[in-house]
Parts: sequence; C-alpha cells; structure tokens
Amino acid sequence: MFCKQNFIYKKLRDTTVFLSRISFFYRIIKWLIIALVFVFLSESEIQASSKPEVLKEAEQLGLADDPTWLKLLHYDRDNKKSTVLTDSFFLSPDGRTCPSSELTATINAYFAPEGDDCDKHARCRFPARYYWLSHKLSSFDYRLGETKCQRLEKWGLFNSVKSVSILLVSGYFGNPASTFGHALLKLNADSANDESGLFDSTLNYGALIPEHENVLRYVARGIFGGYKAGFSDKYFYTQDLVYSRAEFRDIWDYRLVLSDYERTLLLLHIWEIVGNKFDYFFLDKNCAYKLAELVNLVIEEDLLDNGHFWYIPVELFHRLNDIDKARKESSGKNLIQSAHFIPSSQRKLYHQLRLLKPDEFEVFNAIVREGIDSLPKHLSKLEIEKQIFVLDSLLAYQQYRLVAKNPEANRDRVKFKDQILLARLRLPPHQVANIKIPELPSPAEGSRPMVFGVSVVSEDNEEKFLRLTWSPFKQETVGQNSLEGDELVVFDLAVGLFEDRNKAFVNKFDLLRILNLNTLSVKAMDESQWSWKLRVGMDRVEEDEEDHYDGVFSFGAGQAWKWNETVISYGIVDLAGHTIAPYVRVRPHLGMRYDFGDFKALLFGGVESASYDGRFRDVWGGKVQYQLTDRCAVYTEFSNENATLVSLGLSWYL
Amino acid sequence: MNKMLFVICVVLFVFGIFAQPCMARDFADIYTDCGLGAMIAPKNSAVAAVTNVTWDLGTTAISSNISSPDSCTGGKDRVAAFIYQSYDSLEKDLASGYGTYLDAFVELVGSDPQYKQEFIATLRKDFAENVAASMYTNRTRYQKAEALFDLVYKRVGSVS
Repeated sequence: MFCKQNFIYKKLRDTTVFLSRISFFYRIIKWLIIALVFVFLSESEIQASSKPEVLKEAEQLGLADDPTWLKLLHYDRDNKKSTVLTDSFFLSPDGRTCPSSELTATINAYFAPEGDDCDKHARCRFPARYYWLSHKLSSFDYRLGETKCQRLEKWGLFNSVKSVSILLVSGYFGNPASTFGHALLKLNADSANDESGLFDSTLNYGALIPEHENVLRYVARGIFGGYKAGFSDKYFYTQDLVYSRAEFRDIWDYRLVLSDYERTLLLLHIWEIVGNKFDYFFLDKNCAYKLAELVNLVIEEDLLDNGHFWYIPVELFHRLNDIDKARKESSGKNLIQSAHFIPSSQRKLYHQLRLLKPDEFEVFNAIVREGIDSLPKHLSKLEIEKQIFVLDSLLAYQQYRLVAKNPEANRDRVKFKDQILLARLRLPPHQVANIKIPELPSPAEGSRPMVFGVSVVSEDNEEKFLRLTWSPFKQETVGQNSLEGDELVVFDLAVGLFEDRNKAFVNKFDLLRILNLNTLSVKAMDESQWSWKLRVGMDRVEEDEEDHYDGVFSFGAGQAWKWNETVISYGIVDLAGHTIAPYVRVRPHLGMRYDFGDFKALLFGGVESASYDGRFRDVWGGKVQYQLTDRCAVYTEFSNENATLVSLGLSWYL
Repeated sequence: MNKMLFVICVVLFVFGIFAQPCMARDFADIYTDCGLGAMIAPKNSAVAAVTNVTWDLGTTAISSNISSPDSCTGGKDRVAAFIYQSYDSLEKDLASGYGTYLDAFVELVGSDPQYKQEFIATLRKDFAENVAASMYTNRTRYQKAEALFDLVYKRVGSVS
C-alpha cells in the first residue's frame, strides 16, 4: 500500500460501528468497499516491475550518460556538475557530481516504502524522471498521474496544458537591467472560458535580491555572482499587469510545436525544478539562458550554442528561428507553430484615442485641460454614445497616467479618475470598439545584435584606412532589428589601421548610444510628445598629425513624426559636454529615416556651436545600408562631424 | 487486516460525502494567510500588487503558485488575489461592462454563463454605489479590493 492511513483507524472506529448497525446503509457501503478495494488492487499493479531488473536494464542502456538524464539533473555544459544548488534536488549524496549514483538512487527511491506524507515520496517529487525512465526501460512500469500525489494532481498542468509558448518581452528603459528585454515561459491551457489566457501558468527565472539592495552592490553581484536564483510559476495575468500594463512593454508569443510526450515531460520537470536554487549571473546565466536550458530538455537541437560573451533574450528567439528554418528544410516540420504580437496597454490606448472623432477628441482634451469640474459642461455637448467613447478613453488615459507616474503622489489625479469612473458607471455598458493594432515585427525577425564590421574609410584628403568595428549589442536605426526607428547600441568600438604607417588606433568608441523616437503618441493634453537621444563615448580628432580623443556626453530632446510606413523624421536639439574645446556645444538638427525593407537609410543635417560667441558650423551625415542576407549587410557612411569622411563596408551579424 | 481496511474505507467514504470542502474565509483572512499584504513596493502600487521586484534578465523575485500554501489556491483565494492584484484593470472593465479581465473574473467567481450580463449589470450598479461614496478616493487598495470582494460574494449567489 502506497500510503499508511492506519492512524485514523482508532480515532474513527466508533463512528464506523455505529454506521455498521444501520443494516441498509451497511449493505450499500459493503458493495462500495468491494469496488474500492478492486480499484485499489488494480493500482497496485504499477509495482509489477522489479528493482534489480530495472537497475540492470538502465545500466545496460547507459542511461546515466544519456543527454536527457543530464538535462533533467541540470548538469553544466561540460557534464561535470549539476548547476542546482539545493541539496534536496538530489536523492544520492553525490548526485550533484555523479549522474549514475543519482540514477541508481532515483530507481531505488521508486521502490522505497511510502511514508506518512505521500507528497514527499520520490514518485511525487520527481515525476519527470520516472516518466522519462518509463519511455526508456521496457522493465519499468510507471503511470503518469499517481493518484496519491495530491499536490501534483492538484497542480495538474500536465492534464490541462495544451501547448507551450516562450514570450519575448521588449526592452524597457525604465530600468537598466530591463533594457535588453526579458523571456519567460507560458503554458497555454487554451481554455474556451479564458480566451486571453489570463489564468494560464507562466514560468519565470529570477534572482533573489534583498530588499533595499545598494545599486553598486546589485550591479557587481549581478555581473560577477553572489545572488541565488530560481524558477517561479505565476498566472499570466500577473505578468500582463507588470509588463504590459505597468511598464508598457510589447510581447511576442512564440508558440512551440511539441509532441504530447515532449510537452508532458517538460511540464513534469517544471514541477521538479520550481523552487530549487541556482547561481545567478546577469550576462550569461540569466532568464533567457536558463529558460533555453530548460526547454532544451525537449528540443534536440542546442539552444545555447549561439551565446557569445552573453546570452540576451533575443538570442534565444534567433536560435528558435534558426531551428525552425532548419527543420522545415530538412523534414518539412516546424518548431514554431506561430509568433503572435501582444501590444502593450500604452499602444492599445494610443490606438483607442485615435478612434475618437474630432469633436470627441476636443471634449477629451478640454476635460483633461480644465479638470474634473468641467466634465458635465463638456460632456453635455455630446450625445450619449459619444459620451461613452469619451469617458472610456478618459478613464483608460487617466489610469495609464497614474501607472506611468506615481499614483501616491497625485491625489488629485486619482480623484479625477474616480469621478470619470463614476460618470461612466452611470451610463449603460458598451463594448470598446475592436481596435486593430498593426503587428510590430519581433526583434528576433531582424538581424542579430552582435555585429562585426570591416570598412574602408577615406578621411579628408588623407590616405584611406581600414576600419574594424565590433559591438556586442547593436540595434541601429538602419538595422533590420530596429523597432520603429529606435536605436540602442552598447559598447561600439571602431579601430582604424593605416597600412603604410603600420599604425592602429581607436577611431571611435560609444559606450552607449540611444535614439528614442516617439512616433506613436497622440496629441493628448499633458501626454509627453518628446523624443530623445543619448550618447556617451569618444571621438578621435586628428590635429597636426596627432591623435586626440574627445570624450562626449550628449543628450538631446525634440519631436518625431511618422509620415507613413517608410518615412520617419525628427528634429532634436543636442546639448553636449566635450573634453576638447568648446567644452559645451549645442546642436539643433533634423533627421530623416527611410525604410524600404532590406534597404534603410538615415540622413541628418544641422548646425553645431563652434565657439562661445555664437558661431555655428554645419554638421551633416548619414548611413545607408542594404541587407544582403540574414547575417550580412553592406553599408556606406558619410559625415563631416570631426573630419569629412566617407566609408564603404560590410557588417556581419554574429 | 481486511476488517481494518474495511473500516478505513467506510470512514473515508462518509467523510467524502459529508465533509465541507473548505471553511469559508473572508478577504482579510486570505490577505493575511496568502501573503498578499507582503507584496508592497514603495513606488508603484499597481506593480506592487503583483510583485515587489521587477528587474529583468531574470531578476524577478521568486514567488510560486507551486510553493503557495495549499490553503491559498482555492476558489475564493484566487478571486481575492485576482481582485487585489488587478483592481485597476477590473475597475476599467466594470466601467464599460466589457473586457478580458471582467470576463476572466466572471468565470472565476463561478457565475452562471447564462446570466453573465445580468450578473455584470448588478455588479456595476453596486460598484457604482461604492465609487459614489465620498471616501472612495481615500480608500487603500486593500479596502477597495475588500469591498469589491464582498460585493461579488453578496451577488454571486443571488444571480447564478
């Protein structure tokens, strides 16, 4: 018998005796008991296989060295040690370093006598191990869904989940650690009663950060180690509330094609692994890496082999695309069933506001401008249906503004929102029009972020030189991975080589370069219309045949306009600090970005202060790029910023 | 042995019929027992209601449904957590009478689908009375969530 339940016998015997005296009831119960015992004995058949037999077959098949077994134990890539730090994850004392000991202990534990708490038995704690063994060993008889594993049964995802998705969450400038995006797993129940999947489970990988952690300590321990991390499961609505409705981040849902066996194995392993601890490293053992490692349990192809130096979330999705493409070419089968865009609440709101007619939008802005007291006066100008549209939009807008700002600090805005809420509740229900939001291509559909480039540069009238560039993360305005013309470039290094002078020099270095073009916003009152750019780096300035380096910290703000799907323009004024005179410079300039698919261009022109007496000089430049393949592009660049130069080069996306 | 097994099965059967699935708990109990009150962050209450840390690249605090106490995964507990965490979204959907959060909410509280619109209409009316109260703006998230929780369980039986 799997569970001991003798302890309740004495305590409840009197009740049973009383019941047995009621003859009619007794007979019914007797037959029910016979039926129960029959069922019980049937379930006992799962122990038909014998331990020596199973151990012998496992050894003969060399299962201890099987890649799936090592993945179930989370061994590192050289298969020397498990990355799981929690002792209770291992059934053998040396299971962390010896997969064969762990396999033997796992099989032994299967046949071990049960304790009082069934949920603590190895069968309930490690169902994925036994599920996998049952598919490998003919002598091993394990049935999924041990009825005595009450907590596992209650969790029950292996019954309800129909498919598995990996979500790519867009980058977020509100937090440096979120700049490069996020990845998490979603377990889709595809319930007809929950079409948006709010109660689907998700799996997130995260570090345990102490409260009020010092920022420097946070950065140092994040990069060099010191934090413990682990997987946690939550309902999807909690992710939606944070990523989409609080941080206004778009999400791309990559639904995978998995067989029933693969899906079940993955789900059972999620049960095993949640709550266990790992070491956390921000650059390479982060959410995307650990998620890739987890999903690799059921995907044969290596998801981790394209990490160079670091493993940012988009790397995982590039790898999924690669595998999907390779599978289609070789066998005609997919890995990715679909890639679905989930717009942020901000994007939805902007599109909702664009649906307002001019008179509705006028009332909307008037109420925002004049305050809640003007609500009755302005609303009365409109018929009921229009009032509903305006109030729905006002409520969505005020909630958005409250989340974007600090609601605790603005009691008046909360009061404003509550008055709108009340006014709306007093009108009849009306469904917000179905808003069609254009799908934004996933960053993983474009080029990879790490770039190596070679170009020939002609500078002024001097001889030409060869320029080598490298950046671990480049989302350029003219690149295929740019989202709506935005730019985010980190550690962009350019080294020049003069052939005859036998000289190498740093030509340019940008630690960080950001261009944020706000083309989505609507002209709503008190909504920011600002676009902005930032650059921290240095330029080489050659004077009297000597190289000098000019450190630059530049910040600019302005406006951007999206004319159509091809053209975006902007006007921005930069204020920059330099280490070479003039130390403070102002640069008003205009830019145009053209997007013709594989062909993209950025042109800019303006003036820059050249002294403190009001003298300005012309500045102009641009970059035109043509994508040759997924991994390669040709480009030409020109500018007069520090010297008049023209270059022609090739970029490889690694 | 057979007799002992027989007795055990009788008892299990009787308890299976007569035992209540769980004791009714109010919002305050669930809030305390299930750790909703621990989810506090200084800057943004909407985020705080969901998680206390939102760092990316895998630096989100660990909090798991698997590791939640068994007493916190039942129907009313899920409703309480959902109301508390997604109050703003529910508020917006209740205002218009439509929305994904409201749909999920109606399903969660177990309202009969046949009477869904009737349930929402009643809830909207009651909720409007709550919002009309002079102190509504000054109420904490906890107080607002508790009031909606009570409204729902006052109405869910009468309509469904």
